[in-house]
Amino acid sequence: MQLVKRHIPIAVAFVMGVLMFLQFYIPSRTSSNFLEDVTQWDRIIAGFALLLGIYSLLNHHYHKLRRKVPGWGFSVVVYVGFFSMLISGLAWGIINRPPEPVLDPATGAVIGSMEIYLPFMWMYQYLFVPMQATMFSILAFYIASAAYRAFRARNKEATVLLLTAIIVMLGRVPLGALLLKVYPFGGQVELLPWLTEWILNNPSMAAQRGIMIGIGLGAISTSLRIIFGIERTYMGGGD
Amino acid sequence: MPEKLNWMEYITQLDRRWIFIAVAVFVIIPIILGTSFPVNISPSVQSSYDFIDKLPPNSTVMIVCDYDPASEAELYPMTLALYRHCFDKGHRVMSLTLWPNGAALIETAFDTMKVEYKGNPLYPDGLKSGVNYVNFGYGVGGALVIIAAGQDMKTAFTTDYRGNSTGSMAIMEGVSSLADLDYVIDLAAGSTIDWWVAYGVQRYHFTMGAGCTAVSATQYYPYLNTGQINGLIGGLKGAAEYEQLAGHPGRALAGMTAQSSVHALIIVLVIISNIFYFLTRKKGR
Repeated sequence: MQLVKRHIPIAVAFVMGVLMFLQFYIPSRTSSNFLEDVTQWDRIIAGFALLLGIYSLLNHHYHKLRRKVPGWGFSVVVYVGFFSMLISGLAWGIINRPPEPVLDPATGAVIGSMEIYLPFMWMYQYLFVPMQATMFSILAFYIASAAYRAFRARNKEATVLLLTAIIVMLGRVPLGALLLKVYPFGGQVELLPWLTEWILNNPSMAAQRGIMIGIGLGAISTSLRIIFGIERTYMGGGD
Repeated sequence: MPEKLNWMEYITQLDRRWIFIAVAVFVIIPIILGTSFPVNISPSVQSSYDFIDKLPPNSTVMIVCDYDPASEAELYPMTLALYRHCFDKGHRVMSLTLWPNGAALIETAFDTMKVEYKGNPLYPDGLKSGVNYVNFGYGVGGALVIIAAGQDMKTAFTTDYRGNSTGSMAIMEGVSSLADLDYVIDLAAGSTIDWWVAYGVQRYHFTMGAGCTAVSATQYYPYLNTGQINGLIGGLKGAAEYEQLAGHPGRALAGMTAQSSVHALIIVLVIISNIFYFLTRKKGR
């Protein structure tokens, strides 16, 4: 059992890891074909991962429904939403016909367009799109509330952060340029947009670059740990 | 003076529902009034615009729409502004998404373009899928799609969103790999710009620009600085700048007043909360 559950996956990870590493540095037709084949296989496996995700979602909510845990009504919504989209997509298809232009009877000019929606696309366009957009737009309300409560100049660092945030917030909208009409450097630039770009291009970018280098080094070390079988959590079990 | 202290405390601990109402009012009123401001153009948007503008007609531009309806408010106007600019210049436009829920948004955008460009002298027969544009739809596999397209575009995208074979499409003429594209621009709500830079630009050496939500714009300045991307369109403001440059005012420019007023509201709220924070702290001492 150890052979199937542990040794073979570690061997596969090692062989594929080393081959893909070498492939990057060998510019040949064989190497290129190998990359193409591996990419295709990976994409097929990724497709199956979607199926696994669907099974996992439905299974999770099935258990919630069976145990009638608090909030089980939301699991009903998951099932209704999932199967109504699935059935309508399978029964009537998922791609609308292109919209027909609506012409002005007098001039013949295009004054609009008329779309005939399939049930799947109607649900996508008029239920899914507005609901997801609403979820994201709620962020604006929470950001405003959080800024009011938490954005305090409690110490020097917080004051610098606060001032920077105010400059960038004003500099990123047209109102900022209208409120503060200052043109430094011989009138060549507007102060707030220039200051905003300077902040983004210098202190902010320096921090971002540090984070990126850290992530890169972390990715390299994790890859090496997986290739050499030190990191095994991806197989499950957590050792 | 305890009453005054309570009043100040009330302000510092203001019920968040009042703030929610204020935000709603500051969004709704500018939209109802329909006022608009001219926007100043940032260098990162200007460079993307200039690059597309200077490409010779019939160049191939790939606009990758890596977002779903959650970020539609910011990135969809950006998509439309880029499509309009490309079609005005007579470029061929290819689109795909690495997000499962993004493919239909691309199709809706192309459908909008088809209606808008009907009767345009550049396109006497209207915009045609497979000739002037193609929607490859959702590419399964994330970063692997980029490598696959870099190796062979026709193998990576055997059919378009409507199931038509891409092999015989006129738009695919002279395009066998990402390296053959004249420009790629990734409009991303997540981290796909990192993938396109690492697995696309670095490997297949094409010119790339990027667009993203305002909140993640700071993340991509290092790529801009190193020249791995030649332009960055950040958030609704970036989309508004692009609309202004392309001469097609749309939803992004219309939304600038609402965004300006909410930013101003947040700044005022932060200033008020800090004033009362210091006053209550002083009283406490």
